[in-house]
Amino acid sequence: MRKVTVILLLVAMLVATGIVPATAQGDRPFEGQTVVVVTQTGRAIGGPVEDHAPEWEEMTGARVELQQFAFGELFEKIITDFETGAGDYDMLIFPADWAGDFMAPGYLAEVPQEILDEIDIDDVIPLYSQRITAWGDTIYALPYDGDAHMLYYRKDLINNEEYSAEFEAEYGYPLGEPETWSQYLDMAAWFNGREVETAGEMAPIYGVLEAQRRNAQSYWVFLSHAAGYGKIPGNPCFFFSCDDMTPQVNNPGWVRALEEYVQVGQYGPPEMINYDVADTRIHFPAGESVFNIDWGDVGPISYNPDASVVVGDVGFAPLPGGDEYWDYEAGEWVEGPNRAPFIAFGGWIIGVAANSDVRDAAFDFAAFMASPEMVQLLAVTPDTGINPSRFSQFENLDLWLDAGFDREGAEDYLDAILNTINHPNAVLDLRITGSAEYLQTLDVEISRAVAGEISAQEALDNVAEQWDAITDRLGRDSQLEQYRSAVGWSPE
Amino acid sequence: MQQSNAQPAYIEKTGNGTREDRVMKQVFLTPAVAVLLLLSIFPLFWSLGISFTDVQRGSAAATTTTDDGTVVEDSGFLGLGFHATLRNYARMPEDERLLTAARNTLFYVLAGVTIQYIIGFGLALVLHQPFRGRNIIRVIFLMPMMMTPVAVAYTGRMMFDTSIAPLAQLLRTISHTLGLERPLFIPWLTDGSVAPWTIVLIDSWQWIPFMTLILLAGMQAIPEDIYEAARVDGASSWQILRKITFPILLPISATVILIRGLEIFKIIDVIVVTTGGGPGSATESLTMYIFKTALTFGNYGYAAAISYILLILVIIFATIFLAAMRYLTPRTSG
Repeated sequence: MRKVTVILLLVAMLVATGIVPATAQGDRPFEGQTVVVVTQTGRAIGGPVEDHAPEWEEMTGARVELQQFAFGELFEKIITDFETGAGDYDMLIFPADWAGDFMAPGYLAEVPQEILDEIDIDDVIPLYSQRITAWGDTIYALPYDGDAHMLYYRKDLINNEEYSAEFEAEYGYPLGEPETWSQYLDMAAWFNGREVETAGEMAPIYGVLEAQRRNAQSYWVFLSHAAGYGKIPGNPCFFFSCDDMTPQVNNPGWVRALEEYVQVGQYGPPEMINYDVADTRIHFPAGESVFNIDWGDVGPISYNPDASVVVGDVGFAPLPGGDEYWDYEAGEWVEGPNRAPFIAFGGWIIGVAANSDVRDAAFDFAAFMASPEMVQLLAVTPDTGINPSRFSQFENLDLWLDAGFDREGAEDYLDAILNTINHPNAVLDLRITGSAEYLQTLDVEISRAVAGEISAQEALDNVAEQWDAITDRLGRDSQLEQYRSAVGWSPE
Repeated sequence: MQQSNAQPAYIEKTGNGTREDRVMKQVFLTPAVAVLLLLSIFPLFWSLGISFTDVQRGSAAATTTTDDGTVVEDSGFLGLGFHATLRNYARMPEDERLLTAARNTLFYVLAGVTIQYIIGFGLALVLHQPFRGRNIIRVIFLMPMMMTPVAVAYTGRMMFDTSIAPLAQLLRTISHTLGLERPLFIPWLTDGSVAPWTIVLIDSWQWIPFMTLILLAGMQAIPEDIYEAARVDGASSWQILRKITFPILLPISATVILIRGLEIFKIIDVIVVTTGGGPGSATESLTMYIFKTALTFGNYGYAAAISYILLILVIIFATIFLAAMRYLTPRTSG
């Protein structure tokens, strides 16, 4: 009995001196564990982890170590870790496009049902809760961000009646939200270099700001142009033919899109060829251009008075479409508007490495970051890289008004996103094994065309040749099967 | 056989010391040699081997059908899952991107080394002169060398921005002062013909201090009486530089040029940060191409083959350079 008393006294002393934590294991379930998180560098995507990890650390007793890499190197860092079995990362925040390379080989752990319940998965729009987080029938990642490309424009200029009359006299139609890429180019050309009023000062403005930097996220912007000219209504197979996996990247629709993407360079700043989206997100809210193409991030940034001189002057719209499209099955151009919004990227998703030795802690932190409250907060906060992906975010207008949007702007912004993701002719991003490789190949060649090294046709012919080689190497049949499944195509 | 002296055999003396000495040398050297073999020589030959294979991430397993119709998975060379092949080397002459990267890399080496040596030599001459505050200025000159290349590259990217950078502002001010109708504009990083020069400038900004440091050390080692004798003989400053300083520094010059040349062959960090290899493929280096080929495309065989081509280029450069230096360096009699 005396012995027991002595032991109890010793324990009490240790607790009092802080050597043994006062809280029980159940209160801080991951005490002493470290979750290594890997994602891209910068405030977008990585920033929220940096900002909110301390709250989770406080609750669980675990520690979060954030490792960030430039987007151009992120895939290489993660795949090298997986292939070598180094096990350096526990939780990954990565583009949904890479599912084929990460999920198919089993590098990610299946998400337990209780974690899905915890984040209220039913509140997530099905596009983001199922199509981008699963491989086959198994869910390997948590939805975090809802991504689709959209058009931003200076509505104070586009809706200006005086400008509209002048423009109409020249082009035969009034200024307005552009519905086709041709209109977009006309308006960009007309405004480019024109002195307009921005934040009370008259200064020349550029027509457009589009990311064109190589080894970055620019190729998605080109794909947004290509969707309007290369997507056949009713046929979901945009990148490849679903008959035999023939690349469509060099068909006349895609070539026209690349020619226009090159042309766009004339209507932007000279530095634009070296701009990634991180750059255009600074320059567009600074009032430097009439148009901008980007993910949903620019909406909240445009309403941030610390970063934007055009608060309330930005309009939001789905991407323009082609004024014709190439029907590769018929081998001919089809006249008429063809709006085909591009669900670029799909979104950043959160996975946990299958070989993580702190898997439970990693899933817990993943659920914390992907929780409804967290993503609601992040979506309305500028520079987080997180865009709306849940029904509740579209239904609750107050969320946006509280974040500084005006009612008209909030409705316009949410409508533009919904009209994009719900569009019957929307194009889903490439999501098969080797996606990163296919897209990196595209990146290099379109960059050569933009720099004037080779023609648009030559560039895309090179891409098609390399895509065929990649497909053959990875197995044409299995790639075809994956692609059909990814776009929801089945033989009639 | 009878021993020539009474010492036991284990301490028999030879030209290399006693047998015990030799054993101890081997004992101490073996771990170092083993580590060297394991970490350097083995990967070297392993990568050479890989360069002759088709090993690549995600390759579909090849299958063959036997006479009875059974489909058998091809286990490849020695059952290792890949095949021995010359395809990586055969592909190279037709790989336009590789040739461009090789051409860019050679440009970086030749332009970079030339600029860095000339300016480094000039700065060393200046810093060799006695003037007030020389020591602090020497330290300031060395600071870029102490920065990480990525930080240097980000600094360079900011400096060479064409709209908001100080250089752009300077050009606009000059244009305004000169009353030019169109402001002076240099597309530092956005034009394929200018961007490689900008990369060289950024790299040079960091590494000129290295040249300066070594050459300055060489200059300080030249005995002052040689200069005094030359001045007594009526030599001008230019003659002293051309006939004394430069020839005496040639061996050191050869060393720094070789070190920098070999380093520039491996340039990647500055390029990734400033241009990402663009515009187009105007600034992509061989190392960057190897990195992408191996880690983005998972084509380890081809990446290894290109690495060996880079190695051969480096060896050719070093051999030609050293031969030229031997020819140019004045020989001492004797």
